[in-house]
Amino acid sequence: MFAIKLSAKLVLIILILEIALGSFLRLYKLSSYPIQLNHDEITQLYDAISIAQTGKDIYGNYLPLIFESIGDYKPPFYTYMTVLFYLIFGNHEEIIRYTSVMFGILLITGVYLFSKLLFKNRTVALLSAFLTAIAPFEIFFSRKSFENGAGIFCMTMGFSALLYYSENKKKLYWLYIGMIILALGMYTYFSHAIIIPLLILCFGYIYWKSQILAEPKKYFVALILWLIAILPLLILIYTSSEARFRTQSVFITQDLNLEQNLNLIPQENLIITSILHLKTILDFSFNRYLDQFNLSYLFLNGLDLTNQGLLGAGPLFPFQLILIPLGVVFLIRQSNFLMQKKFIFAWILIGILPNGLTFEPHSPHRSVMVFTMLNIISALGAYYLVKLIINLRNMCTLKITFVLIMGLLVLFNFIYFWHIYLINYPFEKSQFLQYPFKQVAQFAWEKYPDYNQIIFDPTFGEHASMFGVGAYYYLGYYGNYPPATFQKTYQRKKDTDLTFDKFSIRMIDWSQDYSLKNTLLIASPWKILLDSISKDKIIKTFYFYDGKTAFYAISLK
Amino acid sequence: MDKFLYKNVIGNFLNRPLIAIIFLSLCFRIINFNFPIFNNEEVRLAYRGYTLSISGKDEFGRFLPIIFNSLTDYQLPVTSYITAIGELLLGKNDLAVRLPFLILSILSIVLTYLITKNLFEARATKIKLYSALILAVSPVFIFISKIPNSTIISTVILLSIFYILNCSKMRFILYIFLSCCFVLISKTNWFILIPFTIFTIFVYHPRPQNEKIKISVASVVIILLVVSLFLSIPQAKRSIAENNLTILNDMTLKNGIEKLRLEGVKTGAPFVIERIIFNKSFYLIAGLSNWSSNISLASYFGQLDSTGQLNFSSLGAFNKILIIPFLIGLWMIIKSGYRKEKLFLIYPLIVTWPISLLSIIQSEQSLHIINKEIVILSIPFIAIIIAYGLTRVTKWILITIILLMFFEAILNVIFISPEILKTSVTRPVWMKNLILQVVNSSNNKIYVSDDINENLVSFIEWYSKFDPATGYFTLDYPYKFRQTKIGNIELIGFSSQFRQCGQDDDNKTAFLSKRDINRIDQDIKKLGKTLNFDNNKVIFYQYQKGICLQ
Repeated sequence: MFAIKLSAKLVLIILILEIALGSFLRLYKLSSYPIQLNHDEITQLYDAISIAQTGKDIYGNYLPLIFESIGDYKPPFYTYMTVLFYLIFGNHEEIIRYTSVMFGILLITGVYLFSKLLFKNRTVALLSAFLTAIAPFEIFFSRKSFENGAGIFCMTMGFSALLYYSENKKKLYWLYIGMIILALGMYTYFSHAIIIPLLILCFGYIYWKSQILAEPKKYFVALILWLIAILPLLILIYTSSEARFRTQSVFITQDLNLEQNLNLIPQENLIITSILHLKTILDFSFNRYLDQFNLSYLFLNGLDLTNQGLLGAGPLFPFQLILIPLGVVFLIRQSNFLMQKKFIFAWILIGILPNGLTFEPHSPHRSVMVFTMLNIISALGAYYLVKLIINLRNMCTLKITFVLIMGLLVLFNFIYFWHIYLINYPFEKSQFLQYPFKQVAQFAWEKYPDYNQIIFDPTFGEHASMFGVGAYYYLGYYGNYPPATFQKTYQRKKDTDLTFDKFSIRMIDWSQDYSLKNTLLIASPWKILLDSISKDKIIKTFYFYDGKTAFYAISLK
Repeated sequence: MDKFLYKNVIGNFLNRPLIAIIFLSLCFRIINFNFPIFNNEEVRLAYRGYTLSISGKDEFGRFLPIIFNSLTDYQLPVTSYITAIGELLLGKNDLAVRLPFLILSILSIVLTYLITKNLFEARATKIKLYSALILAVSPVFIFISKIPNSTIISTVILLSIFYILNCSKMRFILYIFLSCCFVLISKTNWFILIPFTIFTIFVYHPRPQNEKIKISVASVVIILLVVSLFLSIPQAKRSIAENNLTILNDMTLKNGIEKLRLEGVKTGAPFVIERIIFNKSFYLIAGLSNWSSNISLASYFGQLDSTGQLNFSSLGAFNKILIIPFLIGLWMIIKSGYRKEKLFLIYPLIVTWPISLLSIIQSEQSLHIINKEIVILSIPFIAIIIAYGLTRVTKWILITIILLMFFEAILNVIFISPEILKTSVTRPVWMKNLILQVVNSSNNKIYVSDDINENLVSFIEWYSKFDPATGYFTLDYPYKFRQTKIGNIELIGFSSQFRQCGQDDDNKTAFLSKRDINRIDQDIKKLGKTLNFDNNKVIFYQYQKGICLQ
């Protein structure tokens, strides 16, 4: 079926160029875009520094296996990786992004290897790697310090090893290596702890169904190795209340609409009520699952980079809307790809599962592995298209025109995404990156010696107010505040009332706080009655990226 | 013609498995027959059907009109007259309104059966039965078979057109008749008829050259005639722009493009570059995106209509388990289907393409509000793909799928109370009680707050013994006309001003909502009697005196 062949040398050169392109797109002005560390990044960064300096997180937990965050718990992998980068490069904001960028770049190779072993075709593998290098979701998630990338890398490498073993049964060590890599992938992200075992099960069923029965010993050893590797994770899942809390807090039953639907069920008969209860959850969950395949979401605005409806960027490029169906048709029509087809579709169907079980209508970060596979299918589609064009005999002009149109389409799609990401995204979504918390924190530390207390009310917003989480992390990190001291002085009365050192992060009551003395008060126009104070008390105004007022710093002497 | 009808339609009715499926589909439709309660447009159709059936006049007193009123658009005539047929036979009641649509839904099952038989020929034995069975238990087909709506009529006529275009002998007069009916159901159908016909006779089932020309010309002439006649009435252009070509007036897109350009200019990019990047091609992309997102797996198997207007609010067009045979069917047709079977996959796209001319409506929960009226037209075609898939699974999987399909369908039609509660605002089961209280409260003037429903007048007309002749208006072409007075009842809007009643004022009865109760004097407020509806979600205050309007 495959006709296009490239020499090994050319393949290597192209792959290196793709990696270089991918590296450039991930590293270009990494510290400036996204324009500020978001609350997930700042929490993990400050925790990583705290671990590096004291061996404890900022709450005083010694080498935790799960990190407390803001109303949430984080898996340990990303924070410990950042500890390593901190120890190597020292304290820079962008070290928090190094891990995801590193795995984002490594993934280009990972996808190349995986596609090559899956389809035994270098051209498809190169096309997959190219799409991985430039894909919007890859660039977006690589640059925003997201732990999922490491997990996907482990999955591509782990399954590559298993595919290699499937071709070369004598090299048993690839089976073991693959299983261990896959076990490591489970530590990177919560949903991977469920997805990877399911995928291994599918892979085993599709590729080794008969062999497992014939030679059970080999596979039993691999299973034991895998179980040993994931043992700490299993202990964590079954013993940690934090892990359970995390699972419960994002589970679909937290959705208010579902809750409303459940409340409508009559409570007359226990069995019927239970059946209807289950049916309502299934209906809701199934619809959410299927809605992840919404084409507008996938190709136009799924990354939520703007507030302008369809005018945004999806995880995939719009031109892939042509390539994916072509890839699927190509795959279906290949009679010798039975196992590959099954595994690819199992990957997609299983990969979407976390979205169907969680409370957010669309959460692209939970579907990254599916997008990766859709990129690979796009590569197949591109390959099919190229083959169709090559097969057009005596139509040279048509071929050139087609190649030019496709090239321009890809280029235009990329420029459009890059424009949205670098220019529009900061304007449209600065609030959701907690902008300008960094400037607020730096200013507060500048004025630190002049006041007895500094109160920061992080309630802010451009069109509606919301409580900006993680303010104490920003204050701690940008003040170079020693984590060891933070662990001692930090006090939490409730989630919206925290103190450390001179800082108090809480909602202000303007009628009372107005009369405080020797206090620096930082709050948004939502919480301050501007008419009630003289303008000379406002010593600084902080703005959102688009120039709208975010906070005032008010000196109460 | 009689022979044709007997051979193709009545002959098939005598087919035993099909009779069983029809019986089954009747059972699924008869259980909880009074569900769903009519919404404000359906109740308008019901009442209009009644007035047409007794006097040949619509609710405004116009004799056999062609263009009718609705809150959102002009309404084309077929649906109203079909509703009238039921009431002509059975009088003014819910059963009479539902009956014609129930019959049409059964007819759509038979037509799907016949189409499948034609499409798969020798291999059709099982597929035709499965496709009929799938439609018999389809949530959306059960739902729309019990309410007056244009969608089921469009579906039946479209299937009929498809059927006769694929018959070996072309029945030209029948085609003309059906096409005329089709374009007089809904404006959306104007966009479907020509591509549907052309694709069928030129590509899918090529007909002899002279027939091709005759049929194509006929379809074009019918559309030209209907469009030109429609454009000759007042507000016609506005009606098309506001309902069928909304993408061209999409302000969200227009403003979005300008805002993103401006942000680029603010960062120093030349305006020309910004114009190139954010250009009018987005209208095309938005349209295509809307179209593709409407015919998604989520609409067919997840949730078709969150508002509960044309389907159960949390269900897709088909029972969930059928997604498996659908994917298998699609896969097998692409992989090893005959040319005709592969071409058949294009029909769902052809019948839904007018969605690409509509702007996108987004909600918090969903990226798209589905244009269900159009999507439903594709459902019989999808059912056939599912049926094809069912023939490709093993016996035990087939039995499991069918059992699960029935299990879900039974749950859907039996346990409807959550659905009634969920849609109690749009389909107010409590409205009849309120209306009866209002109309029986006084023979003098009655004021009623208008914020509980957009079309309270139609509910009053339908649920009370209102004499149609007393409610006639002089309106030739009512476009989005909203009636605020009926007999001795007057609706109070937000702009209505209350005043203190004088000695000369007659006692007037008022039914005030929470919105209006806060606008009257505190002293009078105390005199009201509280009326609770919809499990205390709707509260009205009844006053026998003391309320006067300026």
